[in-house]
Amino acid sequence: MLDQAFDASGVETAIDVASASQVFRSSSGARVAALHDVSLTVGPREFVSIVGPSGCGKSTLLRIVAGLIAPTAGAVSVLGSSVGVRRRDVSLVFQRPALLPWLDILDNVLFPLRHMGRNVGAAERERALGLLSLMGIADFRAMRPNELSGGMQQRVAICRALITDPRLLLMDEPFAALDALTRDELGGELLRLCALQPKAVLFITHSIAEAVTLSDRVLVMSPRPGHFRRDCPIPLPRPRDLGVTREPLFQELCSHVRDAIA
Amino acid sequence: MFETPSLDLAAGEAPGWARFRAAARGPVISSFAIGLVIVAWEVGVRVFGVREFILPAPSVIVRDTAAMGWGIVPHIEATLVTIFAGYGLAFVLSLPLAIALSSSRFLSHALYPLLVIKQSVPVVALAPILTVVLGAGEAPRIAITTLIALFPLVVSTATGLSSTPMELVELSQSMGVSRMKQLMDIRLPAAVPFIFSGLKISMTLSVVGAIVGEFVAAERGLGYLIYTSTAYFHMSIAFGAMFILSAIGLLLFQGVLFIERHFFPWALAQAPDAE
Repeated sequence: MLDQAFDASGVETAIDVASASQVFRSSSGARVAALHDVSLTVGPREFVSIVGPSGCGKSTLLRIVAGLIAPTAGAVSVLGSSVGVRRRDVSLVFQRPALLPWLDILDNVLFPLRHMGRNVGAAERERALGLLSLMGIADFRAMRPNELSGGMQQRVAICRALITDPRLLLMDEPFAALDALTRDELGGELLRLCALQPKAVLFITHSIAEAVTLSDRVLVMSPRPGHFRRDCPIPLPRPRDLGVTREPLFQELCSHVRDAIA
Repeated sequence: MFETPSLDLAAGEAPGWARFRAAARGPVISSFAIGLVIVAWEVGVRVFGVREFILPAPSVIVRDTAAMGWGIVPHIEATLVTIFAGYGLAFVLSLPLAIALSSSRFLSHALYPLLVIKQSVPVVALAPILTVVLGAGEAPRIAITTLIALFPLVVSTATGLSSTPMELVELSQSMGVSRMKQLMDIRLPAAVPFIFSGLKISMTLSVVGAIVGEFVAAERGLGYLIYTSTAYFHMSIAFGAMFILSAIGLLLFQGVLFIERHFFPWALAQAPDAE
């Protein structure tokens, strides 16, 4: 079903950013170049990570793709239409889970549908429960967010992003606030998820190992102004699990990416 | 919500009793302290022979106030009406004002100075003026109560509305949802803990407002009772009315707390003053 939807839409790229630049005006009035001449293409089922130091413009690029800010220069098209058009098949996951504390877990997952004014019936509820089981947290459906650990909350945030069946998932350092063990665990979940429901993912991270484990392609970004320094394909076979981290090729790819950053 | 570790230590006893003892410890200590003050007061007044029109003993206050019987009920009723009307009006006015303040820079620049000027005028100074302007009825007392309760409500609600987590706003924006829907679905519920902190402050202020209003112009009410009793040196009645008033303030505050705990339990974990 999902595959047909992709083919029928005839979309060849999920994201197409053509020489985008972004200039912010600081409070003192100085012009700060956040991005300079950045081009990026992400295929319809491609998992692309952007790694780079803090303040290199990764999040700015993600916000441009999400349509939250307009680039100062350059053209951006997402799933075949220009980014000014509000897309409802693009979902966001942030560093903080940002759940709604007044709703229980199930209603948090259903929130995007209600917020967009869609009817929520038994089928949608079933779908939300399915996503929660997929992430292994169906038992918590009646709890409130503050009763869950950070890792569990982030799983809920991922379910919330998936409830609209997005074709593009934008993830802004989604595991950065978690401890190392939970971070690995969620990385594994994300790998499993992408194998089950292939979709385009733009993933922003500080962690080289995380980027190499998850991605088809890792883009290395440099700051002031933000630009891509290297495009590293990750030819690790799919489907993958966390076992790839033990392979020699994985280590080699990691050092390749690390060299590009340094 | 969370059980204290001391409960586990007392687990050897019957659990119900241990729980009761742990829960009752605070109130028992508080009641004891209050009781001590009352006893000291009673003994002090009797031992030093303080005259009744200077400081009546607690027993005299209770005796004289009880002697009023049902006569005190209309006074309580009048004050409660003023408190609720003024408080309710302040709440109703505070929402659109706070929404206006937090949603537009223009309105914020236009309204904030006015609010601050209003707040810097002492309500006690405003009360006689309002009484002349608004006439002899209930209106000036309600207006005074509303004015005194409004500011904390507006400020805390506006703060709540503008401190919505950035991610939630972005989530809503990325879905292309209208600002009105964003307000109703996200920003207003997210502001509930802030609104309640304003509601709690304003509840106690409303009692003050109602009394100030009754001091200036009223023919009934606990404030009126205090004012007239002291004029005739009926100090025991004035003290009685004062204690009833503080009991009302306490109960109303607990009422707001109860509504928050009962209907918005999640808000307590998010309370702005809990962080």
